[in-house]
Amino acid sequence: MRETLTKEDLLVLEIEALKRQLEEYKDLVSAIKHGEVDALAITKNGTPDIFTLESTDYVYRVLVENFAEGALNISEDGIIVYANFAFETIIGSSTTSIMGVNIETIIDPASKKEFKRLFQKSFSGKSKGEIVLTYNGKSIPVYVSLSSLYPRFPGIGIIITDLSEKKKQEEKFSKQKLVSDELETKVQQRTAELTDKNKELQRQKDFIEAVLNSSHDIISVYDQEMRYVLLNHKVEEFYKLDRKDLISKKVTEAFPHSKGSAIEQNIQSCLQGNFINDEPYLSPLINRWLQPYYIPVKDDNGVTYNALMIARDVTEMYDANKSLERKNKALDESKSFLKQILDSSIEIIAVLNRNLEFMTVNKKYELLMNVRREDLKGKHLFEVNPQIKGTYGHECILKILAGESLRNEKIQGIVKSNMMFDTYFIPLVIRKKIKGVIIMSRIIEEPDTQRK
Amino acid sequence: MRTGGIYRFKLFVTGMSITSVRAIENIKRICEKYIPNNYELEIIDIHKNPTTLTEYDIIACPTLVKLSPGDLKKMLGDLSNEDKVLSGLGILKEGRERNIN
Repeated sequence: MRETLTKEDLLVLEIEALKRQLEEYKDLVSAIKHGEVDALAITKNGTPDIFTLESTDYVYRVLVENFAEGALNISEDGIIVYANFAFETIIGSSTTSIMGVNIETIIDPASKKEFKRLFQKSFSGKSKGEIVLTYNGKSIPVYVSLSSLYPRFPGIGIIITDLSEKKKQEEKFSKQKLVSDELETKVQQRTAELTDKNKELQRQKDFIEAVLNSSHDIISVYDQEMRYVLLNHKVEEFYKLDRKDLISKKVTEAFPHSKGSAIEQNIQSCLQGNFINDEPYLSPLINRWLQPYYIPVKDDNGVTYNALMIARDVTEMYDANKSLERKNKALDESKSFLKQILDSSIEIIAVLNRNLEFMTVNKKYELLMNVRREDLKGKHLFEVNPQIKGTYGHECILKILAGESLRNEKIQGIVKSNMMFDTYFIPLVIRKKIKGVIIMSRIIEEPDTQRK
Repeated sequence: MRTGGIYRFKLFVTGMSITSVRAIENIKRICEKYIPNNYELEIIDIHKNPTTLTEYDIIACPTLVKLSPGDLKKMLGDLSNEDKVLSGLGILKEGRERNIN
């Protein structure tokens, strides 16, 4: 294409290019003239250098003057050549008093080494860290960010953030943490103590349960609301129930039939502090006779907080008593029957035990001897009839007690000496042993008869 | 003059200077008004990217460089003269044609 262009065409193109270039430079001059340019870039040895015009400086200055962080420019000797308003606020000074001051003088001695390191490092770029400033006796922890201002300015720019509040918060947090740690330690100690106590309580509880479970009695403990607090194995065995199902249940809830019963009343009374030993009752659930005891469980102040019920299964004993009662009754009946037989006999009958004490006599004897049966019972033969001692009758009695057998004897009356008796001495044998002697006498001669 | 395609611009500014801020506002407004969805605008802070200055032979800021379509074109200042900007960048003709159609 280019080869086809005439010399004239090339000249036209060159003129157009020059026109455009001229237009650009005219625009540049016009823009500079009208203040529409902020910066000029000049390239030296291939490196661009930016020259900012006043308008840019103003914006940055306003920004730096008004933002909340402190800003300093310091010379390479450490002299403060610029400080913003926020920095004055941070250290509590006026700009005039801080400008021209060597920054070293406001660095806390403890931070001087660190600041020196940061300062040196900033010359080759940027550095940042925490230091403490000291001004008028006041220490201010700050975070500093240092930037080299070279080559345009022979010094360092520093942005300073006040850490006082942060440090206070950290200190507060640290104190709180200390308190929290102490609390945590105490809680752990307390927890350990409680764990030990719980173990001890558990041991005691296990011991008590072992004691309770070894009992043959039904044992249950109720709280003030009449709820089951504790039960022993016997309850499970008797009622075929799981203890866990009863714990925390009211007695009337677990056993509805107990509502309004003596059991409910007794527990209520016991919870009011009364010891109760009630009559045995027949449990309809297990068909056993139970002897209940209600014992109030009291605290150190004597206030009842639980009721302990111990119910003993007395079914066998109860049945035995009943049986004994029946036997006694039968015996009484037997005795009455025997007495009737004795009294209806025409013979005079006296029964002595081996000690020769009267066991009984019949009506005939009472009438003849003019004595009462009750008065004779237990009295010795010789006490009642001392004259019989050594007589033939006495000898017969001793023989019978010795196991000898005697035929009926005719004996003259001793007490009633004018009478003759046809007397039988019969051994009183109980369980194959001679326990006494039965003396049966029939009057064969009476005074009136003799006279006749 | 326009050969078609998307408008691609680079605007060289100097941080937060007033003129630079105005230039950003103006070119954004012009683009949205005349060539919406048909332009790419890259704003370059010369303080952060000084090396780009030599690449485009920038000697003052703010400077708007039109990369395409057509020949590379530079404009200086705050770009507040809308007619001059449209004319300089060849957008005025396109806009008029589009408005007619």
